[in-house]
Amino acid sequence: MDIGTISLILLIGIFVLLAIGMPLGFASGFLAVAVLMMKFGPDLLFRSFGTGPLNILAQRMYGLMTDYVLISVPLFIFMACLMERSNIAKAMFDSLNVWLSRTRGGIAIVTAIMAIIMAAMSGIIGGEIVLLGLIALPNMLRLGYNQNLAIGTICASGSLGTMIPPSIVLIIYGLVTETSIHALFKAAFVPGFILGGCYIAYIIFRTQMNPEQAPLPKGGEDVTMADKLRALPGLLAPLFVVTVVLGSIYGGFTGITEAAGMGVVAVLILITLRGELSWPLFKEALMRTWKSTGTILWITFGATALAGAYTIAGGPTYVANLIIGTELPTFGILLLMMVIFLILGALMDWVGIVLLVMPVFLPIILKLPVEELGLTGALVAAPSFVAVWFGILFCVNMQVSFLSPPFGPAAFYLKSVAPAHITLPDIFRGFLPFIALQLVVLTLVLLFPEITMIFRSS
Amino acid sequence: MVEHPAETFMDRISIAISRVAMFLVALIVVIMFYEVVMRYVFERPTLWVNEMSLWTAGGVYLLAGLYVMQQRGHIRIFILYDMVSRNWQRAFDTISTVLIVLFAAGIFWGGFNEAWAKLMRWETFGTAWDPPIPATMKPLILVTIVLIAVQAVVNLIVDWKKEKQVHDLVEEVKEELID
Repeated sequence: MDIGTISLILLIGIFVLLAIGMPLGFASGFLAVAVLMMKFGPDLLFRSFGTGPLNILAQRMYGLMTDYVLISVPLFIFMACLMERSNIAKAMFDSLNVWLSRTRGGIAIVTAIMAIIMAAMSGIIGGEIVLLGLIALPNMLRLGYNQNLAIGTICASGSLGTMIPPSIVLIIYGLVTETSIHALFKAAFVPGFILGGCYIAYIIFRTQMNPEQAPLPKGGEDVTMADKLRALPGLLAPLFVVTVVLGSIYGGFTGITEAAGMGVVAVLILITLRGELSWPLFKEALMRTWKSTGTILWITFGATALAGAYTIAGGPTYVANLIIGTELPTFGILLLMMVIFLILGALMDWVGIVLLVMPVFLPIILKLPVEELGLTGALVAAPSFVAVWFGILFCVNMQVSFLSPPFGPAAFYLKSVAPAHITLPDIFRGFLPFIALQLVVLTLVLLFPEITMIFRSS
Repeated sequence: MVEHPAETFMDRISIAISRVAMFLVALIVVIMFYEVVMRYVFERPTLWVNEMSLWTAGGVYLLAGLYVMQQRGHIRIFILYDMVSRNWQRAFDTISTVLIVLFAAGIFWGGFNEAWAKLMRWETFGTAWDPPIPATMKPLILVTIVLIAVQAVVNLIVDWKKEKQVHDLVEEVKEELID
């Protein structure tokens, strides 16, 4: 069967299998078998038991399993699970609040700052949004903050976990595309902080324009400098973890995987110092880690099997030729890809997109004339950096996908901890200005690749 | 964490394996910490920690998937599934399960000779400490995917008589939080 027909059947197959509620990872896995079947026919495939083209499935899985960096995924999940079970985040919120409670929009700013700090500790989303939803949302609503502002702040800044390094999205992207994860992390810093900075600037602007959206707490004594200094220790704990994780990586002490391990140790030490460490907490965190790891890894296994099968069937070349055949200008192709990412991101999980789409898209990007990428041609000096830049673009795209209806996971995480009167449409409405900000930053990174090149080691 | 209870013998096997194997994640943290301390405090880096982590983590990735299958926790989309009648759901589940079995059969058919040969040869990783990662992990892939397929079939049978449940994503996250 020719690859065009196979690709079409594959595309229809994915939608049908997802629609009937088949688990994503296994749907991809089965489709891998189906692609090989269509390509080689049953005779060749099943001629002799124990060998043949089907061996690619186990080989791809084994290849992934023996990649050292992948170990950082369960470790970062473990770290986040431990942190969620402790009161470290609550303490951080209280101390930041002492500093900013007399400022207009203070709690929203505190929420965003806290989310940025937590994003620099761990690389996943979900836990962060739930934590902020539990701690910051009741405070903002009680003070009479505008509901949309509160919701948008929590979810948009809570999603930064996968943008600001360390980030699981970038780890998997690096693994799949064989791009240096170190370089990706360095490149993600500035766009990540620009994004976080935009949120804070927007909160300040919006609350200055509409003071009624963020009333100041009534009465109470002024917060003295002494109070502010007394509140500092609450910030030390999270900064300690950030220092351990990022310091290990950038200080050149350890690789990313060991940094994740040291992060777990740092969180365990903090929990012990706070007197919160207990056997149930530890066991519970491990169980959650176990479950999340199984979920994320088997999507990855299924997708890598499918990517492997599709590659030996000649799929990526076919799709690449199809896209190049449209004879769109360079910028048109980039824009087309961004739109595809945004649409896919609204419908499916980011892991699936990285594994299925990147092997097709990245080679096309690498073939485009490098001087036409970005407005200023900054990438000409560093053609090898294109893959890193594209990874960051993808990462910003996924920031949008976490917020976009109908499946934006951030909304569901927040809904689970929000008061009952806040409905999902309410939540998505709160996201709109923040999605606009994300699109602005996406455009900036697209037009000015320099943004990702600031910390590049030449 | 609310856990899907063990309803069958296969469920008990999956949960039993998980109860033991989940501590492997903690083990990786412990040995990594040991390695970093040895390297920077005592300046005597170990040979075995990296490879031991790799070996252990392989088991974690694979076996965790078995637990998630028993928990019905693998990521799937419920929009259409929740709209149709229970009989349609049974039909959908049957298709899914058959395809999972076919996926498992595909991996097994194509990978058996290589896995068997490496196990018989006791093939090692070819590194300094040289653990038998190929000899153990290649067969473990096949064993795990067969167990997962069996668990999927068992799930289909056990859930067959159950009433229709609507999967509210929000409720699910909420359950996660209440413990």
